[in-house]
Amino acid sequence: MKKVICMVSIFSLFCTFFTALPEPANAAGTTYYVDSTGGDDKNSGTTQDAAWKSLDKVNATTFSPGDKILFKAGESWNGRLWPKGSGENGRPIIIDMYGTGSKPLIAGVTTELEAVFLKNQQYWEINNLEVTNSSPLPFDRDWENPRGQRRGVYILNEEAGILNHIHIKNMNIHDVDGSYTTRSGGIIFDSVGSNTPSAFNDILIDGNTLTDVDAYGIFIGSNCILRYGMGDLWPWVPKPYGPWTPSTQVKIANNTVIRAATGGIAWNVTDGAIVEHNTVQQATYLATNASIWWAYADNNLVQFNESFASVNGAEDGHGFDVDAGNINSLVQYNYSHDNAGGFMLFVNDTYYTINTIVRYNISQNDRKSIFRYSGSIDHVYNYNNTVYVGESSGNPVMSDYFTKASGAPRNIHNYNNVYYSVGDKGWDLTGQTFDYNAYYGGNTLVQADAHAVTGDPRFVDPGSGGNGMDTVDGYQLQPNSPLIGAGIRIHDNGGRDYFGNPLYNGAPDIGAHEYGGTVPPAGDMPDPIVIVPKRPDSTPVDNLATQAAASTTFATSTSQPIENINDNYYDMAWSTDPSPSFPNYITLDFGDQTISANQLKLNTRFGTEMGITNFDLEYSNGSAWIPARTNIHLTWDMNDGSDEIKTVEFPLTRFSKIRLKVNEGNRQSGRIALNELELYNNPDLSKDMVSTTFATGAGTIANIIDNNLNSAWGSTGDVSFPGYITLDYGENAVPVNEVTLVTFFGIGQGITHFDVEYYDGSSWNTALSNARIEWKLNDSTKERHTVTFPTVNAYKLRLKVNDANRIWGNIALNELIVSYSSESVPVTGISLDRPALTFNSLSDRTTKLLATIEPDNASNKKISWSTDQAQVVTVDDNGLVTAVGEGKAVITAATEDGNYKAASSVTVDWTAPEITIHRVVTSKYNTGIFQPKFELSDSLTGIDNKKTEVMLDGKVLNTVSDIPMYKLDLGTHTFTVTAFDLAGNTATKSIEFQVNTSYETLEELVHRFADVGWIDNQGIANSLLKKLQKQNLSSFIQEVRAQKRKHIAAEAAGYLLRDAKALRNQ
Amino acid sequence: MSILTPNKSSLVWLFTAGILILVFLSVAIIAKPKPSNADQEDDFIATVDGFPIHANEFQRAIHANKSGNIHYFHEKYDAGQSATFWTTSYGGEIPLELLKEKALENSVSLKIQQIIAKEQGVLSEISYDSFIHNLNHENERRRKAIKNNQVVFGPAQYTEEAYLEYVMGNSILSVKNRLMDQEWKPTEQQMRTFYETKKDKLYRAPATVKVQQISLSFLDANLSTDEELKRQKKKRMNAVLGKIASGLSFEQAAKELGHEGKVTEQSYNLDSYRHNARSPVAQAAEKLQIGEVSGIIEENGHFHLIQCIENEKAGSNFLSFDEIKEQVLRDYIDHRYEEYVRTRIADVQVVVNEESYQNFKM
Repeated sequence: MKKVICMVSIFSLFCTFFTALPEPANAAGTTYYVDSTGGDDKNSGTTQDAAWKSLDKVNATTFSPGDKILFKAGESWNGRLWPKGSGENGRPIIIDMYGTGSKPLIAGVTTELEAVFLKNQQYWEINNLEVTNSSPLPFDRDWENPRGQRRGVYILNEEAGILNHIHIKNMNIHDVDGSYTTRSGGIIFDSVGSNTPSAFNDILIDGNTLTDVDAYGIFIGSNCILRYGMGDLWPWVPKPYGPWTPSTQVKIANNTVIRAATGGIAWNVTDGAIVEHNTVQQATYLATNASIWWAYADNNLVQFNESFASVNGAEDGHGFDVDAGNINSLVQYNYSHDNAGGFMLFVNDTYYTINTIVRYNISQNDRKSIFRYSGSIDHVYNYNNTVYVGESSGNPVMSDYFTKASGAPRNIHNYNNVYYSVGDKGWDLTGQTFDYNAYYGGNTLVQADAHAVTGDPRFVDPGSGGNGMDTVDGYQLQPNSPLIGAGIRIHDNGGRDYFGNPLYNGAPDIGAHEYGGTVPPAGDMPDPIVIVPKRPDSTPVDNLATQAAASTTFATSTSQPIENINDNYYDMAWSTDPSPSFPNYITLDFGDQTISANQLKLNTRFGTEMGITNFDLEYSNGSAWIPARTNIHLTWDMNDGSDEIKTVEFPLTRFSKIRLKVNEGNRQSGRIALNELELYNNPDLSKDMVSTTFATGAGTIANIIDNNLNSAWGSTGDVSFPGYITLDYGENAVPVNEVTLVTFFGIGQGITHFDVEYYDGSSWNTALSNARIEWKLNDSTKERHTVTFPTVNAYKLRLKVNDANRIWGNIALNELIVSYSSESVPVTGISLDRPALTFNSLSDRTTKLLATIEPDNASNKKISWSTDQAQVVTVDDNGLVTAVGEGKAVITAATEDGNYKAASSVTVDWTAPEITIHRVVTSKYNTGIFQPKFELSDSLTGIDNKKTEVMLDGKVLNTVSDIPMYKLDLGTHTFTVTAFDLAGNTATKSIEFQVNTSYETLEELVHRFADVGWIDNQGIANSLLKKLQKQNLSSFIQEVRAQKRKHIAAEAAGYLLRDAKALRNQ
Repeated sequence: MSILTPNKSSLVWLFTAGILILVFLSVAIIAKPKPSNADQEDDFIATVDGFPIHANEFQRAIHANKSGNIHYFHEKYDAGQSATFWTTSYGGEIPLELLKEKALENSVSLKIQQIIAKEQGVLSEISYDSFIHNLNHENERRRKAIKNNQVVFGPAQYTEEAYLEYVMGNSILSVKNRLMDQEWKPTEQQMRTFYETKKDKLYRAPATVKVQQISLSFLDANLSTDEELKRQKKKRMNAVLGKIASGLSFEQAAKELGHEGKVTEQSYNLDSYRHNARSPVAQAAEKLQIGEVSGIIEENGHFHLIQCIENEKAGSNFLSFDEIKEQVLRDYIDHRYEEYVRTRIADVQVVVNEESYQNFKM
């Protein structure tokens, strides 16, 4: 992009220079007339009476800004029209017709490939010509067909940079017979920018009719396509390709393309192209293609087009095709019908095709595959389309897909569409989701659609579009349509439906029509769908930084968080608050992962204002921060929004955390910032750091430090000892105390005896002597052995290899890992936070035991966890305990260092205690005794007796003692027992009992009360008994009342009266 | 087609395109034959089964064929444009006469198809006047719709030629759909017969190649080519190729690449011309025998290595009838329609308005 900007400015310099020339005599420009029968090339050409005659005359003339070249209506010319010169801004050169009658005809000749031609010219407008360019040879699929790449109008930009303002309007172009390439057809724009990135600015193709044109109707092409690794185009496109340089301000409107041999309208390498109000009919007339398609283009708007009756559906043949490498396409308000291949094709066989929105279109009677996804299509939103699959569709698939080298389709969202079918083969749902769609007939129904509408959509007249000019009003909704109000809102929906009605009327409707009549209030609606475009990733896949969690000790701007430095997008930056203090840290934490890296990249925009200028790079292996490189200076050059990437190399290092200790930064703006921090393991950088005195027989010695266990180095078969394998850390000494050797077939070829030596800046010293390894395997397993030694600071480190296994003569090594682990602090003990642990029916099935290792700074804090009863509990490597069955078990945590142990006894008891109530009362009458007998039992942990609770009628009984039942109210009572076991499980049991009365029991009570003295006069007692025997309750009650508090105690009188009244009422 | 001219002169009618059915009859001179059908069209060049070909329709056909005619005389006789071009005899061929013949032939074919559309109830009116009326009406509708911000598909204004194509394109579609549903609905047996007779031409299975593929990227942080990386990756790919040459299997050799050496299976449909033409991998795949391994192929920022595991040559098979039944039906109807138009042209009675025809000038 920089190149383009630069080139534009050169061009404008050129223009300035050009316009500084003396003005032509006629500032308004000259009008030239051309008349093939009445003119003469000897004429001045400047009046109708003195018109020129031939194309040769016109072609030999260099025209000036503001000139007009007018051809006489009704006249014809054989040959090629190629006038020379360029106009300028505001003063284009205009070709047009004069007089009345049919448009002047330029009939191309077989000796020239084009009928109308401009090359490296700009500011031209070409209007009202009839153009043909036929060939007697037949069309086929060979691009080198002897017809050649014939064109009606050919606008060529060959290494000319940006060319401005080419308008082609109201032309009648037909019978152009070119070969099958993208450079053949009716109107072809072609940019070739192998050396100078080239493109057009301000292309207008408007109001033209193109009929029987081979291969394409309209094609805008370019060889400036290189970006995102895209590197291949068709064989007829000139190589080498230039950097992606889009044509801008491209508008293709109001054209009619009929019977294009392949594609009707296609554009490549554009930014912001608008393609609207075109009709493409019977495209793919002679070979497979798509009617309207675009590729390698950004920000495409395709609307109000009618694309129909494509002929060839064998491979594609869709009405619309968002082809390879398009970023952001909006396809709306189009009418697709009767196309052989289907409605909508999505293709990606190169780089991204992302962010395609297809909305408010109508597809009627399209065939074969209504939607087709080919390759790694990503981020598609199809919404509010109306798809009608009628009889003449011939049983198409609703959607299918192909996996290509680029991958499978993904993130394809379908909302608010209506699919109406009289017969189809259904969907392939790969990569697709559906919600709030309507399905009617055929196999359209997508079961996974949570808000599917399946009733008759009640279109006004489905299937009636396209016959004549009445468009598609038949797809509007009747007032009783179930589609009305059944959709979900889409944010930023374009504001209008297919028919021009505003959105929404109440709740959104499904399909391309928003019903305009009276609708119920929307009420509560789900949140609208917000379409967030996917951005292309900025960094390549081998950037390791994206796997880390980023953090910083700088006070950070809330709107530009630290996560932005490894989000893979250059356009999102991190920045500090104003006036940062130094030093502070930026850390990448890879968690459990150990990473090998040797290269850092920092991208800062506006680096001269906000870039980090000095930092140290430090890494951690778990306990200490060790410098990898110190005092790193960065000098930033750019003060604009372009990416400036600084690369910092450091010795190949293994770590799980790495940090920048930021010592200084540019602070013109008051803050420092970083757009992206990238981290790589670039094997090429490390390859010179390793060398050996052994002769190499297989692989390369760099293989032992490429972080890839699968690649190995091997010596030749004739080895003599000792030999050396040396790592050179360059200018910065590195602390090391461990060396790990990884070898496969170690018994056959592993190093067995070696010394570790290091260079301390002045001399070689021994870090470890007589190290020995006993290799155990002789197969392809990568066996690993580590030796440790006291920490040394090494500028270089080497293995002095004294002996090795040599079954085949050679020695070999897959990987040599040199690392540092902090000095060893032995473990002295371990404890667990809970020595006992119980799981009951209420508790979670899992809990985590925390182990504490003594001392806190022990080097090796690794713990192994175990259970003695795996059928009761299991435990994972982190102490997470999971109950699996009832019983008792012991969990043990053991330290790797010292084998110290701590245990926790675990009880799993999910069974509640059992309660058996034998009886509660001795009788159902009030003469009985409330005397509950019950039993509690629990097999695993036993009853927690302290918690047992008994209740009578909801009141807790503190002691369970006998109660005479006359003391209870007559009627129903409830007795409840609640029991707990020692694991905390609980059970409750209730039982109901009755307290009744009768003459007999009343008599019994009189006897009892007399016995205990509550009735102190036997005569009164006898009198009462007689009254009861006669069942004379009234006089019984009278007598009790009379004797109450006299010869009958008040309490006793109360019981007797209560029962007597109850009897009387029975 | 029988052509009646009201003139005794022995005009030789030349028809191309395989419809050379020439019945030449002399009949009584009719100063100006009246069309029997439709409204009186005062200015017509011929009638087709009584339906007039309006002078403007003929003019339209003249215009459509003019460039081809000019091209023909330019290529064959190096004839340039002059005031006398149209009436000059070049080797016995006169441009205007050839053009008129061709235009009449086209006009008759068009009128026949309009008559068929009328018979099928697709078009109610096929006179030129009604066509022009509809065109003007449609253009007016478009003008108003655009003014009122209503939806308009296709161009803001139709030319006569484009509108004719639009109307006829849609009409022929409808005619075919109607006939497909009713009179011409083929039996399964008819379709199978059609399939069998046409399969050599229409239903050959496309060529497909299935390969195992390994790919190495050489793109840098900006996803543009990193020349150094490219050199390295090429070297690594060469190492794999070396392993294969020394007898290792494709998968085994791929392991040389470590985690990058992922072997995927890909299918290339060789008929997908538009897409394969820009894919060196697809092109290489096409040439491989089963088991054969390609050289290193560069495509889109990657090196690829492929081994062919299946290669179905084009035409070695036919698409099965059941799979493409819908297409067969479509082709059957298209074929039948063409035959039908041809038969109708053969049977039609064309009466030429000799006065208008002879007097026609460019």
